[in-house]
Amino acid sequence: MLKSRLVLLFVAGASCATAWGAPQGGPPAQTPAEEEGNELLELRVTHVRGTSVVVDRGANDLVRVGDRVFFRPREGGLQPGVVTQADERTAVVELQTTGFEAAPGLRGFVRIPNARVPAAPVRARRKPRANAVGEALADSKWSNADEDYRQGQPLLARVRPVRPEERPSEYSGRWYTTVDQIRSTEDDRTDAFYRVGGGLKIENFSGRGDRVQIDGELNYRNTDVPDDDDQRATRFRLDRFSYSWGGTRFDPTRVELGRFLHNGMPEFGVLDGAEWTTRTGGGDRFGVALGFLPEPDLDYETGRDFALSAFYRWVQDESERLSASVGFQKSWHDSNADRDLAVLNLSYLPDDGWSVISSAWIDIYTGSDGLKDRGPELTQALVNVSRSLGTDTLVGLRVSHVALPQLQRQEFVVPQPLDFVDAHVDRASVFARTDLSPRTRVRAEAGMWSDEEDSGGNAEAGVELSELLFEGSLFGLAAFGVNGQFSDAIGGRGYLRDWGPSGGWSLEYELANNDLVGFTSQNDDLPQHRIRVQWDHVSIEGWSVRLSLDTQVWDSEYSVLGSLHVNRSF
Amino acid sequence: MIPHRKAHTVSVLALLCLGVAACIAGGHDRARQRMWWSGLGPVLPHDTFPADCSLCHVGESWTELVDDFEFDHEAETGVALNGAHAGATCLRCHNDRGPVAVFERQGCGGCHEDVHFGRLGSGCATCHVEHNWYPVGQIELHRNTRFPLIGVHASTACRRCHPGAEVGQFVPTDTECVTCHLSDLQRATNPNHIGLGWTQNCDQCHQPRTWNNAEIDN
Repeated sequence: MLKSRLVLLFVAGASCATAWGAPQGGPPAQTPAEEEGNELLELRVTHVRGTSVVVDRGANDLVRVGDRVFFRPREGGLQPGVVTQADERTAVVELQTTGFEAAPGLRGFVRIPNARVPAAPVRARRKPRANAVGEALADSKWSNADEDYRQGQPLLARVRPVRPEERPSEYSGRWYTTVDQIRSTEDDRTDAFYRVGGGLKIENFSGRGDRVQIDGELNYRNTDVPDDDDQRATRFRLDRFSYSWGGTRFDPTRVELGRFLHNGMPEFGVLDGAEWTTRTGGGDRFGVALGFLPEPDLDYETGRDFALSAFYRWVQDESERLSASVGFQKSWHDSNADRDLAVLNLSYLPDDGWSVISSAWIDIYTGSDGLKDRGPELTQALVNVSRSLGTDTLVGLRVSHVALPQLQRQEFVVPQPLDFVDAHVDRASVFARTDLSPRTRVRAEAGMWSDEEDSGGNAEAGVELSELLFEGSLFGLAAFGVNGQFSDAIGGRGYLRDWGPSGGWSLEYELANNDLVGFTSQNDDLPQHRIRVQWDHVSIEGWSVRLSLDTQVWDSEYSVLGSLHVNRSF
Repeated sequence: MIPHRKAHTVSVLALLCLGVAACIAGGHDRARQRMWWSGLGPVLPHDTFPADCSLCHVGESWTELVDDFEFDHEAETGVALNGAHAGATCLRCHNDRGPVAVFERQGCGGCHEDVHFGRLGSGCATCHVEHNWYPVGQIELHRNTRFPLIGVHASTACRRCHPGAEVGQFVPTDTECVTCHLSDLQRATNPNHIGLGWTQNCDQCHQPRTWNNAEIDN
C-alpha cells in the first residue's frame, strides 16, 4: 500500500468518519464535528518548518491566531499546536510537543468558537464516506453540464471539462510472453506452448477523441503424444483491431468498427463488423451490430458466419443499481440461417451488501434444425447471488445450466448426435466465508451437478491463517470430497504463501485418493499427489513475472508443468 | 537435425527473442504516465482538494506532478487498489465514461471487457488475480465439475479438451472418452475395438493412470 505523503481531501468524509470513530487517547473528547462551544474544522499539514507547520486552512475559514489545533499522527493520539499566523487560505501552527515531527499530509482539526461562526459561515463540512458515493451519483452523474466561472466560485471547481478530442493523444498497453512446458512420463508425452502477444490502445488517435485498439498473439505449439494427435504449428491470432469513437459523458453515441468484442452485449461474441450504440438521457442504452463472427477457437476463422444483433439495456436510475437487458442475435452460416439467440440479463447491486447477477441464453429453433424441436430452449442460465454481512462475512449461491445449442458453425466440441439432443450440465452451489478474527478466515463450499446421464457433487472446507509463521504469510488447510462422473475423491490440501509489495511465492501440496467409478476391479484406487511451487515478481514500472512448477505424481507416473509468464504494461 | 526439429528450434528462438524484445521495447518511464497534461482538464473533481496546489503540481505549467507524488487510495477513498491497479494511472478509471462509482459497483466487469462472453459468470477472482491477470488454480477448480482431473488428465493442456481456451472460451466438453480419444479408438486394432463393438464405456477397461494398458476387470 502506498504510504500517503500528501493529503487530498478527495472523499474526506470517509477519512473523517474513520478518524473520529477510532479510539484515541488524550484530550479533548471527540465528537464528529463540533463540541460544546466550538466548531471543529478539519485541516491538513502542507509544509513543515522546523517546530511549526503550515496548514491548509486560513482566515477565510475563520481560523485566527491563538486557535488551538490538534493533529492526529498515524501512530495514534493527538498532538496539540497553536495558530501563530493566519493568512487568507493557510495558517502557521506552532507545535507544542517537543520531539513530535509532523509530516505533510498529517490530518488534524482546529477549534473555532461558535461565537465566531455567525459572522461568516464555516466552510461546508464534507459528507460522510458512507453517503459520498451515492450522493456523488445523485448529484453529478452524467449531468456535469458546462458552467462558466462565477464570482466566488473556487478556481478549481466545476470548470469546463476538457473533451477527449482536446487532449493529447496517448497510448497504453502491454506485452507478454508465456512459456508452458509439460512433460509426462506416461509414454513420454510432451506439450509445449509458447506465446508472445500484446495490446495497444491509442486514445484520441486522430484528434477527434477516437480510439484505436489492437490485440494479438503469436504462438507456437508442439504436442507430442503416442498417437496421431500430435500438433505442431505456429499461428498468429488477431484478437482485436478496432477503431471507435464516442460513448463518453459528452457523446452518448458510440461507434466501433473492425474486429472487437460486442460492447453492448458481450454475449454475442467477437465481431468483424460494426456496432452502433447510444445512451438515453435516463441512462438506458441500446444499439445494433452486424458483421461476421470469427469462430472462437485457436484459428479465429472468419467470413462464414454473418450476424445481425440488437440489444436494449434498461437501468432503474443513474446509479444502475437495478438493470435489465435483452438482446437478440440472428446468424447465418455459409448464407444458411443458423442461430436465433436471445439473451436476457438482470442485475441488482444495491448498497446493502446484496449482489444479484443473472443471465439467460435462449436459442430459438425454427423447425429446420433437425435434432432440436421447434421452439425456444434455454441453453445457458447463470444466477449468482451473494450477500455481504459486514466486512468479514460473505455467503452466496451459484446456479448454472448449460446445454449445447444446435449450430452449423464450429463453436463447441459436439458429442455424438444421439447424445447431443439432451446434453446438458446443471450445477448449484452454496459458499460462505467469514473472518473469525483479523488473521483467521474459514470458508466452505458445497455443490451439486447433474447432466443427462449422472449426477454428483462436491464439498470443500478450509481455514486460512494470516501472519501465522512470519509477516506477510498466509497458511491454509482445506479438505475436500468429490463425487464425479468417472471418479470419486477425498483429499486435503495445504499451502503457504508469502506476498509483499514486490511479489511473493507460494508452496502447495495436495493429496487426493481417487476411486475410479467405472472400473469395477479391486484396482480402482488412484492416489494422486500434487506439488506446486510459484514465484512472482511485480514492480511499479509495470513488470510482472511468474515462474511456476506444478508436479503430479500418481501410480508410477509423474508429470511436470513448468510455466514462465512475463508481462510488461505500459 | 531433422526438419521439424529445426523448425521447432527456430520458432522457439524467434518467439523468445520477440518476447524479450517486446517487453524491453514496451518499457517506458512509469513516471510518464503520471504526467498531468494541461489538456486533460479536471476530470477528477478538485473541489475538495487542499488549497495548496503545490502538494501535487510542480511549477507554473501544471503539466506534471511532484516527483514524490503518492496517493493512498485506500486511506483517502476507502477503496484499496491492489495488484496492477496500484500502478494504474488515475485516468484509467476516472475518465470520461462517467462516475467511477457506477463501474465499481459492477465489479471487474465495470471496467474490464468480458472476454468469456458472459459464460463464466461474474466471479473473475475465482480464476484471476489482480497483479497480472494470469489464471491460476485451474486443477483445483476443475474438482467442482463433473470431471475432476486425475491421472494424465491433470497434466494435459486446457486447450487439448477446450478448443476455445486460447480465446477465453471454456464451454463444457462432452465427457464421453471417445469425444477426445476417437483417434485412439480408431487405432486400437489389437484387439480391434471397433470390430468388436467396443466403442462405449472405455473406462471399464482403461484407467486414466495410463491409457495404453488396459486392465482386466476382476
